[in-house]
Amino acid sequence: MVRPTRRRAPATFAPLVLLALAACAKAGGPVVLGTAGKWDTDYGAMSRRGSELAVAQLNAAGGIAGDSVVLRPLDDRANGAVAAAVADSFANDRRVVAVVGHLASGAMVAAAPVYDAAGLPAVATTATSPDVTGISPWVFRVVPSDSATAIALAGFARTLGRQRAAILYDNDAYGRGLAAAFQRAYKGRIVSVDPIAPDRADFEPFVAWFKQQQVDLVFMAGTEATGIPFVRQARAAGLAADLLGSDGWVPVARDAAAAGIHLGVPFVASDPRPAAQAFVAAFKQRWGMEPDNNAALAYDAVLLVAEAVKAVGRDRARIRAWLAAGNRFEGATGTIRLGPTGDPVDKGIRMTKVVNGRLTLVGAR
Amino acid sequence: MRGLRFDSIRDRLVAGFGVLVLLLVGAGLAARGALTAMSTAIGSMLTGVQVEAELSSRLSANTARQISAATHYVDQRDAESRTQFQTLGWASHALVRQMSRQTGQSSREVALIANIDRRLADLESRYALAHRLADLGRQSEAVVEAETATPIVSQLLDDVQQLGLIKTVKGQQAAKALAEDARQRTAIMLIATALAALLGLFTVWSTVRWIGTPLRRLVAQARELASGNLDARTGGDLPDEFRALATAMNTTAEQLARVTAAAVQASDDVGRSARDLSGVSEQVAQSASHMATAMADVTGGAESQVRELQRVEEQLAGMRARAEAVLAGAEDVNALAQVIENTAADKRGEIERALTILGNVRDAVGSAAGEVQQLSGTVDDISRFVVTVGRIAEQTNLLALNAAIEAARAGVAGRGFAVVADEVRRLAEQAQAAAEDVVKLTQGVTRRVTTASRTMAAGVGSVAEIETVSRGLDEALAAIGGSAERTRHAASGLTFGALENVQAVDGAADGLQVIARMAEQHAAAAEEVSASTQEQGAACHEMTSAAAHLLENATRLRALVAQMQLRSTGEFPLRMAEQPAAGP
Repeated sequence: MVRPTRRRAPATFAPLVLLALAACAKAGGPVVLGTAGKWDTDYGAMSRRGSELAVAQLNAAGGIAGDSVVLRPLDDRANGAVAAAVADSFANDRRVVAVVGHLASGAMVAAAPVYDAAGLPAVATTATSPDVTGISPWVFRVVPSDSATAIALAGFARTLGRQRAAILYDNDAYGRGLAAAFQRAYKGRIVSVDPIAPDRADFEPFVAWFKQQQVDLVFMAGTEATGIPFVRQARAAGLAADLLGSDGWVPVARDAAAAGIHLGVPFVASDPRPAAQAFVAAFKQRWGMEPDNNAALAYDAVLLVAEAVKAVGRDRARIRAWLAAGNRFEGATGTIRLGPTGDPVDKGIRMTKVVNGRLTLVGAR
Repeated sequence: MRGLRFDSIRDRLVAGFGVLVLLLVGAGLAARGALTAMSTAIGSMLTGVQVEAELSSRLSANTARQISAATHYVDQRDAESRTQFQTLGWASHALVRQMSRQTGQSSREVALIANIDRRLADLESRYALAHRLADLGRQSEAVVEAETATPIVSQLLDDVQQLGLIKTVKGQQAAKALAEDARQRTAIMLIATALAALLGLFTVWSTVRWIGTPLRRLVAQARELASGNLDARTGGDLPDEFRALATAMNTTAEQLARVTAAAVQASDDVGRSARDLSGVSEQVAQSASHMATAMADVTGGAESQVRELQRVEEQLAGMRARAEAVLAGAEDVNALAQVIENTAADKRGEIERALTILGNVRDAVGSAAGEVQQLSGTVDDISRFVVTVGRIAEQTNLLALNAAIEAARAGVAGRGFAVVADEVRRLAEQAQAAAEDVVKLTQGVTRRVTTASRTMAAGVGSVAEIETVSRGLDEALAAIGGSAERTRHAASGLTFGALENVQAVDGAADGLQVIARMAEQHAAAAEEVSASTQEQGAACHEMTSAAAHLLENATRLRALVAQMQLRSTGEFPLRMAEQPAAGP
């Protein structure tokens, strides 16, 4: 998903970067994985927790071929231009064998040409935009494309038995992609499709419009930045329609007004699969909190890249070839098998409903 | 080119033109490669620039129309404007996305495109809100909301314009880079062409020089040959074809020189021969007159020779008579020697027989002596036997004595026995006496045998002496026989010699008569020779004059050949010129 940009200096992880650089000074030393995202966001922090847990587990198990694994995190501010510069920095650092990220689709799309030119494999975690699909042979992701997600969501919306739907979307690559895909996949009537801006959280005209038009399902393609104010305003205004969100809405679930909203996500902590539960337990033990899809996807992406390095060594081209070869990997978010476009094949999403502030699994599509 | 060696003009030409062709082909290929590379570079660069420019202009037009539709909807709320706004919005974002995917963009371009996308999104959100407000009939709020979009619109258009500007500059830079590239390629091509031309010129120059220099040398030699200088030669390093030509010319010059030299030699020889001939002719004439004189002397000598020969014949007749007397004497000696030889042979036969008898005597005496010796041995055996008999007799005597004693003891009973014992004793005594007699007898025999032995030994010695004397006599007779035989042979040889002497004297007489006849013939022949010698003298005079004529011609030939210039060899000096013309 494409995240909004906030103008705040991302100095939080600078000491970690220096540590990582120091650790990498030794030739043939630790296996360095670049990772990029907007770290001062909730999803960024969760992603970092997931990836750091994966690295910790790898090193606890003896690292890769006796060498420890180290993350080199850089902040791309979810901004295309910054992401391209970050990608360039990774590409020029010969110790970096692969990149985990970027998190945001916009950043991933902007960085992709750099990775393509430099020959550095990148495994995106939460970048779900259809634009990422097939953008470069060097770019992969562990999350399904928005197109796939939107089709699943549209199908789910039909099972709710609603007839008049409205679509709101964050006017960025993520929102637009998801909205367009949903619009195409949804079989009922779509009353309106409107872009919204995260810095303008006044949704009163839209809510009023939905009420006037007797909209009974609102699909919102966006993040919590627009999601929380919208849910609050909608509930406050007494909008009776079902509210449906995608993975970008995961933080919305924690809001008090979010009870009863539906979310389609790549991962949910209540997923009973053993791989998922093992990850949830480890995450809780390390961080004292429940993981979300951001953490799980970052965790899976790090372990997938580590699997490739274990199999073929540190050569960037050989890592890419291993990733593209369709090897199956059993991750916390499900079975990952990367297809020729770099997207996971037949991964699907989990449909949930917010009950008591928690995501409750209501089905998988 | 200097580093390479060529053997023939053909190779050299092929190599030279091969280099030229290679240079041309290389230059052509280089030019083609440069042009292709340039056209590819131009193509890709123009395509990129074109695509970017087109995207840029389409984005510019799209956003303008989108904003117009958005504004229109706020006022009019027509569904068409709303749809257009939305459709154009998707299209604008798609364009922006497409632009962001263009490769080879600067970070400024990327940032600008991201800005455009952000501003466009912001703008759309604002208009969307304004549209919903208008839908709800809250027109004034809608207008206010739409107005908040106005600065963003101008910023967006600024960005789009700036991007267009960047693309234009990029295009200009690309054109400039292409021009620079073309200029560089042209310069490189010019340099390469100049180099190729220089190489070509050098190849042509060196080839022409390589062929021209030896050709000039060959022409010079030909001229020298034409002017009569046969010493001129062309050698050194030449192309195969020229080497063959030079070899042919050198060989021709050599052959010509050899022919000239041979002609000079021949004329010299002819001149010399002519001189010799005239000298010889004179000598022949002189010796012919000498010969005529000598022949007259020969005739006189031959006649006196005949007279001398007749005297020799008479002496030979005397010699023959003496030889016949010698022959008769030799035959007498021969007969005498035969008689002596026969007598010696008879005597030797007798001595031979006496010697045989003597041998038999010696053998008989020898065997008698042996038997005497054996007899002596038998005597010894008898002596030993007699001693044994004596001892037995003694014992027997003793035994008889003891028996007599015992018989005496026995008294009457032993009386008979005493008689026997006494008899035994007497027998013993007799035996002993007989034994002593035998001893005496054998001693006598032994003495006689010893005497006989000695006598026989003396007999054997006498026989040996007789034999020795007989052999000496035999040898003397054999020597006499041999001498007689040799004498006889000598006498026979003398006879033959005398016979041969007689025959030789006869032969000499015959020979003398023949010689005398020949001497007469010689005298006649010498007179004939004297006459023909005088004719020979006349012929020699004619030959001398012919030799003088030949010499004159040879001198002229020598002078002609000497015009050929044989400067270096000196092998045939101009001797003819130094010699005076000879001849009587």
